Amino acid sequence: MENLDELMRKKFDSDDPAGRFEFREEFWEQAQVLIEADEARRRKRRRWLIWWFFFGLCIAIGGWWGSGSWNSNRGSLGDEKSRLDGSSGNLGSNNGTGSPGGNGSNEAAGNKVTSGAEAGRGAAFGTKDGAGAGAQELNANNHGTGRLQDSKNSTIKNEGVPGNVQGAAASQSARIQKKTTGPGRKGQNNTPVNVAGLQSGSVAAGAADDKQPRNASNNPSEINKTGAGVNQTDGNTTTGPARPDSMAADLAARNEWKGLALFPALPVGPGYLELPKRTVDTQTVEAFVRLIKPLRESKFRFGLSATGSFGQASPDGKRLGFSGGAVVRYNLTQTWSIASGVQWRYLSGAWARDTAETGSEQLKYSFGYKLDTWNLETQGMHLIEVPVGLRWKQGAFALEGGFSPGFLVAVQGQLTKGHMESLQEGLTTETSKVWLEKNVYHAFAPSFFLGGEWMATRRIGLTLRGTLRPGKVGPKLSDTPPPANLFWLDAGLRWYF
Amino acid sequence: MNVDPQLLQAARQGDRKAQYALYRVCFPVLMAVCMRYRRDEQEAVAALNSGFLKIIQNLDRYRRDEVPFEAWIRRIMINTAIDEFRREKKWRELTVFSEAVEREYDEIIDWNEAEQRLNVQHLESLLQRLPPVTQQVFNLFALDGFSHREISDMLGMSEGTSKWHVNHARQKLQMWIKTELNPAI
Repeated sequence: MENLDELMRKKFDSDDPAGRFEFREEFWEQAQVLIEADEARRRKRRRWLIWWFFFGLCIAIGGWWGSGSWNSNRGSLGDEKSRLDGSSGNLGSNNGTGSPGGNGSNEAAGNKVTSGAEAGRGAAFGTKDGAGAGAQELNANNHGTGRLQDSKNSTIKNEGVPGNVQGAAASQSARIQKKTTGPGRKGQNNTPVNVAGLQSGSVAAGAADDKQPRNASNNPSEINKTGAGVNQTDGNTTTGPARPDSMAADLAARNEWKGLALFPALPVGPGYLELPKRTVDTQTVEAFVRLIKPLRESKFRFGLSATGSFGQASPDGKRLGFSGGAVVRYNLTQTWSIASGVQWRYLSGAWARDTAETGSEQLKYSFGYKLDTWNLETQGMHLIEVPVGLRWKQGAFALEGGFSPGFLVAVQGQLTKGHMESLQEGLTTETSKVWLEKNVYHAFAPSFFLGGEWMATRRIGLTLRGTLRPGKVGPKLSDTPPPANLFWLDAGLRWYF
Repeated sequence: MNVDPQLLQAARQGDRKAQYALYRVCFPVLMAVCMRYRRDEQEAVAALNSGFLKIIQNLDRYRRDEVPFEAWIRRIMINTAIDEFRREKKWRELTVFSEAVEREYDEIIDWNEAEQRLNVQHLESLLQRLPPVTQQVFNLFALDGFSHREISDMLGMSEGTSKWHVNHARQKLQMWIKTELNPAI
């Protein structure tokens, strides 16, 4: 036996193949076709990678943009709320307009308050600020204008009064402007005048029905100051000279506007400020409040994930895989968190060539023949992974990257048995799943990942993640090096509890 | 076989002319390997082209100071031939378990005469007449120096099966050699 091996070895070793095999151009043409096809495949793979990168980028930008618009929506809700809050100011200002309107005395005051709640407050307090000559102007935004203006002779035009009154009653903006050139000096009575004097003014008369004192100040002395101008105003007008008795003036004002009854809710009188009840659409407000209710973010969030994988081809040309598992997140800050989990991954393909496929046949002759075939194919790897990563969140979009140790659990194969015999027509086959030896693969499979998540809703997130598994799939058993540096993309869903 | 490193560099970078030159240089060596592992010239050329593609793809991994280029491409070609053989599913060879008594030809063959009269082409044609699996196993074991364990790993069979194929090949080859030397037998 050894002689045969020796003979063969000697002959082939001493052989000069250059003389035996003649080169023909057609051989190179065939090789060139293969080389060009391979180059085209590589180009296509690069193009795919670029497209995937572009796709991921688009998703990232879309997610970021989407999260931005979501935030802006939240902002508008906030604005809506503040607008509602501002409306109370308007109401306040309306109340105020009644008061300074009523306090026609303030024509002497040099006070100017504008806009919103400030206007209301200013209006309410207008009387106390304005002693002396000057002008007082109260503006309440978003409302109609009622204007009351005194002429120099300290008369109040009647048409101005309803305007002001109406503005106050309808929650319109009231603008009360009085310009006097020191009616206090002209007035007949420079003595301190109380609110009764104010009420004697035509504007104040509108508030006469309400016994609530509407003056902003609880300090009678200040009221008296403001009252000074009023008396001057009142001197030539409808109510006549102010009576020192405030109650009497109040009564007079009621009589004056009895027929109108336009201010059923307008309070009058000094002493304290009380805003009337305002009618608010509570349903709308509650809806807004519900919408802008701050989200409670607990420190831990748990969820489930499922992804499909697409990556570089295995030696037998398979690219797909999938994974599923549980995720947990611990929020360090509003934006940063640590993410971890446990997931099972199936990576299809026969990654170790040494066990890619085996088979055998047996043919027996015994009054006919029997043929049995066996074919064993490697289907894929099952791994358990424990990804640990850092996550940065901006709005609804999050970036995460980290390290994922993986442990090979099993290698799945498929056994196909075939049977054919002379008395039986055709070949019968039977397939079954089998678990193959794992020693041709590395048991530990570390990988690194980088990806993003877009929270489509509060509980559901869409993820796209690239994973690189550096190093070789298995130990080198033959001269064919096992594949190395696997890369794949995971796209999937996460559902948070 | 001497290959200019600049030629390898250019071939690695995709220069088609350099690849062509390299193909011409490698062709005889690779063809000699392929003819042992394949049944005819057409199959051998197909395998050769696949092997050459792998050589081009892996040129950047070649370390000139570690292994001669000829040995490196020969090894790649053998692996390619084995890979293709497995992929083409030619495992389903009909193995006949006959009960015929194995004859021992060792005693009646004059090996000196065989060495003088038989050339490489003769032996190559004899190898090609072997059943495919037996041909692969015998090539790997007797001519390329792989152990039975390595062969069993490469071809996914047990070591015993590998040994059986080698013995089977030897019997067949000796019988055919004897026939070649002495057609009367």
